[in-house]
Amino acid sequence: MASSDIRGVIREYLQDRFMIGKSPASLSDMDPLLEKGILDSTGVLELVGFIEETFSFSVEDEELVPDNLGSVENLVRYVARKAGHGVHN
Amino acid sequence: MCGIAGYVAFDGSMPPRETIERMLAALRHRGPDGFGIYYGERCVLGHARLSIIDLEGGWQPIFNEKRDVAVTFNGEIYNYIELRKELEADGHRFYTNSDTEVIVHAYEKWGTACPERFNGQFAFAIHDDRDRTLFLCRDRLGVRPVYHARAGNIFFFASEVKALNASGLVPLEPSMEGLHQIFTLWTNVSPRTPFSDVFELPPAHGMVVSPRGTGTKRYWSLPIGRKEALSPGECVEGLKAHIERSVRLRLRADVPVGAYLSGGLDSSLTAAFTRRCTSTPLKTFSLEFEDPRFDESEYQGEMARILGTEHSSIRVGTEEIAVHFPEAIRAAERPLLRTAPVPMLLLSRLVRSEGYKVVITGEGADEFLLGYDIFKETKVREYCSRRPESRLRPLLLRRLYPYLFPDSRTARFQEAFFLKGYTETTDPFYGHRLRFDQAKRIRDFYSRETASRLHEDPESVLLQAMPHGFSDLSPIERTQVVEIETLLSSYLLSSQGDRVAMANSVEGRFVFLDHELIEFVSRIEPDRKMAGLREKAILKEVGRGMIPARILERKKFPYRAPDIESFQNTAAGRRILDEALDPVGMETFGLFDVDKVQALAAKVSSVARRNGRVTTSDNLVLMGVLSGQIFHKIFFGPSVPAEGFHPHDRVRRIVRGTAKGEDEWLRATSEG
Repeated sequence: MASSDIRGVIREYLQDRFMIGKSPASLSDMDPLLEKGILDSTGVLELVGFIEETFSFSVEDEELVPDNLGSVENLVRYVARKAGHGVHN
Repeated sequence: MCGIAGYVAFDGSMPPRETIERMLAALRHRGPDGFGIYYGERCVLGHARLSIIDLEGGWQPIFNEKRDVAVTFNGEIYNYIELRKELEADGHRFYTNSDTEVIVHAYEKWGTACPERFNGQFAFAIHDDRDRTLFLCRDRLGVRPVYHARAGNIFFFASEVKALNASGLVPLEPSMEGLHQIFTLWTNVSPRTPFSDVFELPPAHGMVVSPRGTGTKRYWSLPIGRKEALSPGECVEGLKAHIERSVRLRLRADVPVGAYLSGGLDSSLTAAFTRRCTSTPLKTFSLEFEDPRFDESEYQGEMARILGTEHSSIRVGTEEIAVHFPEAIRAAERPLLRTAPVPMLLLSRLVRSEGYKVVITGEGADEFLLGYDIFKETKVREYCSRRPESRLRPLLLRRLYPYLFPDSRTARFQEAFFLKGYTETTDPFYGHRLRFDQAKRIRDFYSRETASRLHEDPESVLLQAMPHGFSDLSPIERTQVVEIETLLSSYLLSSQGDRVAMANSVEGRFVFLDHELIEFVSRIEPDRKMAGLREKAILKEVGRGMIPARILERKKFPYRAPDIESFQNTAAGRRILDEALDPVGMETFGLFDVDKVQALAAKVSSVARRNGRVTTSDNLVLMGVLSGQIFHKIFFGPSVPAEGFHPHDRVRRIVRGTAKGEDEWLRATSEG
């Protein structure tokens, strides 16, 4: 999957599950999901479940850090790396 | 302990006589033992009575010697014996043994400053014929409620909003700003309520209503900022003496007094002091939960055994919480973002069914002696802001909220979440920032029309209501003041206290809300109250030797009940939820956006089906919508005509006559 597709899938998921009632434009790819109030620490587990299921890899405990999952941009990079894809723009 | 209601019409345009009967009948749950009414020339004072002190002589309204000052009163003046002696020495004559009578004479002597002399929990209305004024007053912490509204030239007051409405002259309309405050802050900033043009008299305030106008004045303020260098021994001994004095005062009643036991430190201590201060058998009452995550029965049983009390408990199931939720909203007269008031409603029902009317209880210790986790959280966040490089940081953070985050996988995210905005220590709501921000999510679910009608920012309103000197306090003290000024009075004591207890005619007596005790602990440095991260450190020292170490050193176990899951995971709960989220009902109310709410409900329901955990913010939003819709249906749905008295009711009427002789001046008749 190309990174643009990964980005699309992740953004759609976040919109659908955590941004009900918010406009997609209210979140940029660089925005920190915790500080913007999109995710809380319970929501992170939900997000992890989705990533594991959708991209068919398991998220290790030590990878559960904001550097990997804290913004759309970080998520795209992390998923691309874990799923064994380079970044093709 | 009772309900009060009444009205004044300065232009003499009094409503029909039955008006007060309907108002009092709407307060029947607060005072089922009899109704008393005084019909004056331009005022009517009414009283629904739950007899606790002076069982035969305590009929209200009560008058002074000349019968030109009358009072209707809900609550207790615990120091009435001492005050009576003082007033009698001053020449005042009494005709009952009740605490109520002290109020009229104290008013004669000290005027509207009289509440400064009272130690108690009270709401009362005094009518003074001499200068045709009504004086409405409420206790320092707001244990007892009183609301008011105007209809033309008539000023109405009552213990509950439903009684104002039962007059037939105060129609209820939702206040969007009032509702928005509740959804954001969990509660209203007094005097606002969720009803348009219906106001609450704020705690520690007196209000004078006269033909010349209306004025409201605060007679007591939370002592803040004044600290003294008390030694640890002085703190412990002083607190112990105040608790004992407070308990002794609160045991003044002509009916047996019971005690709540939650299994935690505060109620174990108040029950232990109660045991120590009375020679009669003591009865204790507890709540057990089917869901082991919330249950504390093991500790309750242990404490009851140690104190040798006769113990009764009620076991509350998850489905039961859902089923009784609308009843709790009817009692609280506001949307509830938590289900925690429901079990308290069921507990007071148990107390009543066992023949008790009064219970000693431990609320307030967490606020005044720093028990809540929010205080630890504030302390840790502030520490991190001062020592960002500290190696203790992750360790401290992980000591917070182990019960909320049993899954250690997300520890790093929890840290990031709790450190949000942690350097902003000058934020007036530094301690509440995370909660307030989380609650803002509900705004995304308002309908477009609602959003366009909201002009107030609840946080700014709250900030304006904070006492003088608030901004100079440390973050932990500011957090404490916010907890006391908002959540304690308007949520905990009301929705989880007075309303759900009085719904079953039970009066709670709050040992830690004695104002002299509060004034004493306010002099103690916060670092003594919370030593390191050891909450209520002084209180634990007081309890040493009185209650077992196992209970004394237990980690604070917050009183909670399952929220949205009570509705998602049970058949009866799902029916209530589906009905509340029905598009037609939602369109009628118009507060929320139907499509957005339904999308969220579908998401939460899919999480529940997969046995996942509903996120905190989804839970809050859905609880807000659910309780908002139930609130709308109860208070703004098709109206049922208000009932009057029943044929078997005991009613005592006192009518101001025309004869001038003192004995004939008032004509009393009794019925029933």
